[in-house]
Amino acid sequence: MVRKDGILHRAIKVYWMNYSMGRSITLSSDFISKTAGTLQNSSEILPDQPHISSVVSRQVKSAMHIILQDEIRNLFRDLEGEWSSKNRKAFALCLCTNLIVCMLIEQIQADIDALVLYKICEEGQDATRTHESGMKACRALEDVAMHYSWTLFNKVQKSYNPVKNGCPADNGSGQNEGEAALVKDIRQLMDDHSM
Amino acid sequence: MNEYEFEYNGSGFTVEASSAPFPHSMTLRVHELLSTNQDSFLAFDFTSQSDNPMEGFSSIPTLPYGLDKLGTSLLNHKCLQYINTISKFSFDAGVTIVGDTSEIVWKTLGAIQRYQQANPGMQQASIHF
Repeated sequence: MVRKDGILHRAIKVYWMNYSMGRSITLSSDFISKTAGTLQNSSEILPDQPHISSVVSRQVKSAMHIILQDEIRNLFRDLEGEWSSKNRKAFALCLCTNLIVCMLIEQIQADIDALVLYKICEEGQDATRTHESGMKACRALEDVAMHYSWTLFNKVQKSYNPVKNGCPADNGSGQNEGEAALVKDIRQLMDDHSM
Repeated sequence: MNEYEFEYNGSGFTVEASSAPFPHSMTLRVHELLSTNQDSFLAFDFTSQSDNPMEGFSSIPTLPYGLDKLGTSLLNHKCLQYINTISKFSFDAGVTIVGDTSEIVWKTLGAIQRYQQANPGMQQASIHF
């Protein structure tokens, strides 16, 4: 069984796993400079290009994809249990995890945009239908994952919202200094970005 | 060998592979691959796109390397180790924003990390994959 405080760690790992999936897998230049001359296909290697192997990239991302699917499922399973907690201590944990889920969804939506472009430009699929399909997938992510997570969060935390009302560490609310600092940071971010 | 198959050439080499601009990598043993279909080694050049996104990308040749069956079987473990490592990246104030991460995402991740560090119980927590 995953401990309550493991949920946030899992969310952070899911975020960076998805981040890595959207980037190139680059190989170290030391190795390439030492061995390029010994390759039968060394003419393919150009020194001014990033050191990438499309085959290694596919192999690594396939492995990450399998792990990511499991971890996303496990994350929502564990988070669902945590959302229903009436414990005020769960507030900060759920707030952090919900924020990471939002950032994750934003990443996936950017990936969907790239996929739409690929299907139109490289596969020649119908632009209007492919664009609509991408929009539908992005909306579904917001309606299901994002809206659902915040609805549950706000429902449970209806009478207790330190982000809105403030949360000094010593007001007897049950929050510790770390949680109070988190609330302060998030409120500052909202102010800085006019939210 | 058909066009969808590879042959391994040589006994393999060790490379450091990284998927993001972090100062961390995973060590992999790769082999040079031989194929009758050189398209297998092509990748899109995302720096080649013009101002019009509908024009698509050009393709560039990439290194003809790949993992063998043994290497592939170890990949899950290596990927998990790698993700564990980059997940501990420090978001201290003053550290340059990594890659294309936006400022608000960077600051939010920093706030979450400071919250984790302020709660010793969370520091010791672990997830069993």
